[in-house]
Amino acid sequence: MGAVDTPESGVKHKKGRRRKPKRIGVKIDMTPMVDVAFLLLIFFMCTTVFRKPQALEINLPPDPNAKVEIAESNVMTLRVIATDDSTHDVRAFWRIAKDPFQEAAIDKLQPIFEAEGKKNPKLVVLLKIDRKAKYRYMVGIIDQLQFAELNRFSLAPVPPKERKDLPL
Amino acid sequence: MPAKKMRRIGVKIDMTPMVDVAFLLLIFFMSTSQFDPPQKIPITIPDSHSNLKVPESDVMTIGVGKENQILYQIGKNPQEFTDLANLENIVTEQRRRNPRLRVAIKADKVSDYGTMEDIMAVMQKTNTITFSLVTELVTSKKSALAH
Repeated sequence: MGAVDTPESGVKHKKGRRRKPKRIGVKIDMTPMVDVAFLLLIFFMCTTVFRKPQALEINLPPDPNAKVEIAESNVMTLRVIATDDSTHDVRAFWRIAKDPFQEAAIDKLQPIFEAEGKKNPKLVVLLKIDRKAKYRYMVGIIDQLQFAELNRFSLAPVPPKERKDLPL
Repeated sequence: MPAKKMRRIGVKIDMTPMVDVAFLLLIFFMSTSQFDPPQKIPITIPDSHSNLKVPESDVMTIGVGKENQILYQIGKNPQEFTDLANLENIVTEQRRRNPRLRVAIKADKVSDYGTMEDIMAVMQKTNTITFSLVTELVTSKKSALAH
């Protein structure tokens, strides 16, 4: 492997002399150093993760008690209910104003958001999620809302009495 | 006279360029690597399409584990377990110490929404109205929940 050579000069040291011979043409064996370098290189390459986690930014209203008056026709209600068994499944129901609730697949809400947002640019989404639902559904819904450019939404847990309105 | 090929005996390959490149890469990886501080519990973060960066300085991370355990971490200090009541004091205290503190919530994707709701209530109480939820970027057009 890699080795350092110094040019050899033709000088030969004479025999029988006690004087230390001048060291000419020393060869340093670089193999162990290069081995270690490669080992470290492989270690760092394997442990490095370039991906930095990203973030979803949430802005809460500054005053929690402030009441915002919104016309009922501009309100879209979305309720996410955790099914009682331990399958981690959820069911999503949505409605505009006081229309009857419709069920939708949790990962296919984005077209609904887009269509409703186009119909009514002043739409505000009232998102109520069951406390037992998994956190990833909340992130997934917020993500779909942001994709549909519906940036005005409110987030709350589902009170037990509101479960009764739903066509479960 | 036919050009008879000489048998190559004692071929020496000059390894110097390869070793140079290896060292260059080594130095690059060594200088760019940042070791994650040890995690007390593994947290699998959910997916989203958001591509905002997590703040790197003045950051306080609130972690939520699979079993809804709550942890906090200030900057690069080690993580500490805590509970909701304590979390409020910690956030208030840290925000007084460093007014530029930003909060990032790193919750496991299978933790309960209820825990997040409680943490958001704490955020509201401590007047931390802007915070980030740490998520994994997905680039596909598909819904983040489809994964």
